[in-house]
Amino acid sequence: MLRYVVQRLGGSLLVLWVIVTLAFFLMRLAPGGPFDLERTLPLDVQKNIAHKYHLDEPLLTQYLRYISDIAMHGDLGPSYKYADRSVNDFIADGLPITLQLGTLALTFALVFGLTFGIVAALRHNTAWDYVAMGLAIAGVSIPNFVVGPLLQYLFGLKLGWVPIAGWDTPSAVLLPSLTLGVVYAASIARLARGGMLEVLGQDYIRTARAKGLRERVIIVRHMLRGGLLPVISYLGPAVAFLLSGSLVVEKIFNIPGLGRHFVQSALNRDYTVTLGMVIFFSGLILACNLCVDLLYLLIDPRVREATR
Amino acid sequence: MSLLTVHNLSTHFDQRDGRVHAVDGVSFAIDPGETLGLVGESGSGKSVLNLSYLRLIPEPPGVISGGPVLFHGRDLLHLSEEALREIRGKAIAMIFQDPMTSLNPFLTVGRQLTEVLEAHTTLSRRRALCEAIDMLDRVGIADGARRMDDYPHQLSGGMRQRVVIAMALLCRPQLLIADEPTTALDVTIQAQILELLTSLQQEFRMAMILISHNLGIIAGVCDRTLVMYAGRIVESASTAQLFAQPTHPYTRALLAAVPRIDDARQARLASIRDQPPDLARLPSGCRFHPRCDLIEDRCRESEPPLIDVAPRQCAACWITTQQPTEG
Amino acid sequence: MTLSDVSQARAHTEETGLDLDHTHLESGTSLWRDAWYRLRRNRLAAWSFSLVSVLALVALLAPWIVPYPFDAIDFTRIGQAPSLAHWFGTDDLGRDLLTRTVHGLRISFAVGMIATCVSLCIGVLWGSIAGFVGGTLDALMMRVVDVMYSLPYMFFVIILMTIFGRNILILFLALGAVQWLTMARIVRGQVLSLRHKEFVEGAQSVGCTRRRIIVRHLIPNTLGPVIIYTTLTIPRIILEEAFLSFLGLGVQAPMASLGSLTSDGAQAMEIYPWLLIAPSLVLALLLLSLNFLGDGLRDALDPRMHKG
Repeated sequence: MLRYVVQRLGGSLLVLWVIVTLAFFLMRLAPGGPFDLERTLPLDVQKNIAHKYHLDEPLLTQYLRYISDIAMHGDLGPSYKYADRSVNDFIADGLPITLQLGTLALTFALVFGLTFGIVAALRHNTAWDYVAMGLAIAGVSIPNFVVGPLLQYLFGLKLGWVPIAGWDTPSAVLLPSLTLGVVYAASIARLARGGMLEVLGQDYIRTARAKGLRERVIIVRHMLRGGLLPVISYLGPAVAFLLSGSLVVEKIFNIPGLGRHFVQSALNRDYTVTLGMVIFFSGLILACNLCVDLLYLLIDPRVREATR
Repeated sequence: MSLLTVHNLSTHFDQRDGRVHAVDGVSFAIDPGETLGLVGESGSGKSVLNLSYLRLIPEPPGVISGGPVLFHGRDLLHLSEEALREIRGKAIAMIFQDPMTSLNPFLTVGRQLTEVLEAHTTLSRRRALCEAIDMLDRVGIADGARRMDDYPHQLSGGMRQRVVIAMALLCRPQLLIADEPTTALDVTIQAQILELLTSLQQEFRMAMILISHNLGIIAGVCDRTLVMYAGRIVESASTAQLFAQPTHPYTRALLAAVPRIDDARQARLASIRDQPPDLARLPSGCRFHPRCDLIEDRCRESEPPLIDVAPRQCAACWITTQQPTEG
Repeated sequence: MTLSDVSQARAHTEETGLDLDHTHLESGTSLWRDAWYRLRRNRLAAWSFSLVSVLALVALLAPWIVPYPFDAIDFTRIGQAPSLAHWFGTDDLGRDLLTRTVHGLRISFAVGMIATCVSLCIGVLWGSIAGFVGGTLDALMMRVVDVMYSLPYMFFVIILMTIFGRNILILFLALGAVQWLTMARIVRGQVLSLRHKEFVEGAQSVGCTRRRIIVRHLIPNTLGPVIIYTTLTIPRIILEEAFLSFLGLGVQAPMASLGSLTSDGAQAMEIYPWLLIAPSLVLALLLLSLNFLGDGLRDALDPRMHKG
């Protein structure tokens, strides 16, 4: 078991290294230097800048410096656009807000998704099922950048119940979390329903009924564990989707989170910030995937056995 | 008095392209302590029959009709779900074919055993645990206490089936329904499990319905045997009589298909020609007529009822049931 | 009826009761005819199919049927509400929104087709090589896929867009190039499982040539899942293009995409709400019907997946 964990951890680090390397060389591959602005700077200024950012060193040295800065100090480098700010500053700035947004959205998604999915499975082929799954397909198909503005228009502008933007009051939090969470609620509902239906047809559920167990016990003890495995394995990738969703949601609702900084840096062609944040996101995603795998281990005894 | 009496029970499944009559007007009874065999090809409705009166068939698509099915004078088909739940697993227990799939892979053996006692008794957790270990011992798992924390996949096939049997017997049921209990097991283990079942049956004085497609197993164990074909009982007799004087052509064909080592003249194994009928498109008249060698016109026209051919033996055939009176 | 028959009866309640496993493997024609029949019977999928066809036709014939050029600015008609002359209204530069929406639809279909083709080519090639050659190469190739799975690919598309400029061709290629992983897995899985199926061994035993086995047996049998996955890829890629354009990282003005139109509309919704509603509804409708169609096709082609 410990060996499995170490193995997975090593694998994740390897992937992270691939990402960092890829990111670094992509950055250097970019046509035109980062300081090719509209007006050409005097040669000595250019030289100074290049020296300040170590751009005058050989590529390999730069690469090693980049890697060791990340590995040793977790330092993702400076911003080329804003001289006094580093990538880490941007992350420290936006992360708490994005984390709040993500957590709220995920909670919302789990509560609604699981409820809808489980009810749909238990009431298979009834109106409940059809309505829940109709909503779920709509939720999966309609992008959050359509849902967001429409919600904003309806509840913010027309009805005036909640602020249309910002992140400073509790009521401002509602629409963004909802917008971000809808897609995951829908996916989770579909996965939960599928998983539950799969389990529902298993022989051991019939056995449980034949043993005279109460329906509630059968559902909670015998069905949920197996039935919700698909949902759990979805949670890892969901974090990645949540992050990319936050790009859009933070733009729509003008929330000063990670996503805003990231999009802004991409629009500004502030390479180091864009790439640094991608590396940070990747690390986050890998860590979440790892957690989900470990969670799986706790739930399914067969997987536990296989890793011994 | 009979322990369980089934009257005219039918189960069908409504599917888009028609109605599948899995069980069609079946009646039988079983006495306390009796062992009743139920044979037939797969698809003949043996399993559905027993699942039906315990209402373990998913409804819909299944529809159960007919009845009553009397157990201690109460009609199982009209009991409340809660009253029926108290009978399932307690007074009537079941063992299923495949011990791998009938045990929940996510729960320990101990949990799956004690939950039966939890559902039907007021025993404390500890007492329940002791009972479970004790029962494992009786079904031949000596180190039960250590096995309690195991998961099903950690046990061998035979061991799992022993656990399933222990699970069924925990509440000392009056009727045990064993649905092909040995089919999924190795031949050597089959015999052990069968032996275990019969000895426990005597010990606990249970009645048992043994479902099998294997006539050898039925012959060795059962007092009385029902033969099912395409959802109906076509012959019913004491096991000895059935083997000595099979009446229905289908029973005869089944017996002829059993390999015999003592009969050297039997150069090749007889087999029943064609496939069992599609339950959604049953043939007219006698269901067996398309595969039967003895047919007359009325076999195609009307369905034969069960007719007594001897004391405690009856069969549903127009031709063979008439022969004793004619000749 | 044995126990497993009962569960099958349960699983296939809504199916025709045919031995579908059998149909699947035996002959191509009956499989397709069956699938077509089932697809038409699925009313939702049939409606979606009609809607997608109409939208595709509109997009294809756009230059001949829309009344205005997509970038014709008309300062005499700024911000007009929907009317007979301008069904969807006009924007803040007096451009006809219907025209621009149809133009966006063209982009959506184009990206859907081109990027899906790219992903299809890479995925099928990668998967079938891995599946056929097997051994170390297979392990290596699939390891690469595993690693790429854990990369946050949307961010990589953004990086590519940042570095290489917001070029529409790069956008198409980049979207396709990150979507082939699942396809590769599916194709490899199919190839592997089919290689050992009885009918292949049967064909070998009667002396079919390798080429004939591949052309006559393997390809037709792999086709089902590939088609299913392709139809499900198209809406995903359309969604991703709209996502990038919404962020301002995709299609650039004066060209219009459904995503960028939604983004413009979201900014102008206080004054011109129709600018938000028309393009976002068209996008939602397009994605919804493509997803329903994909789902319907999956059910039609592979009834065993139906109950999931």
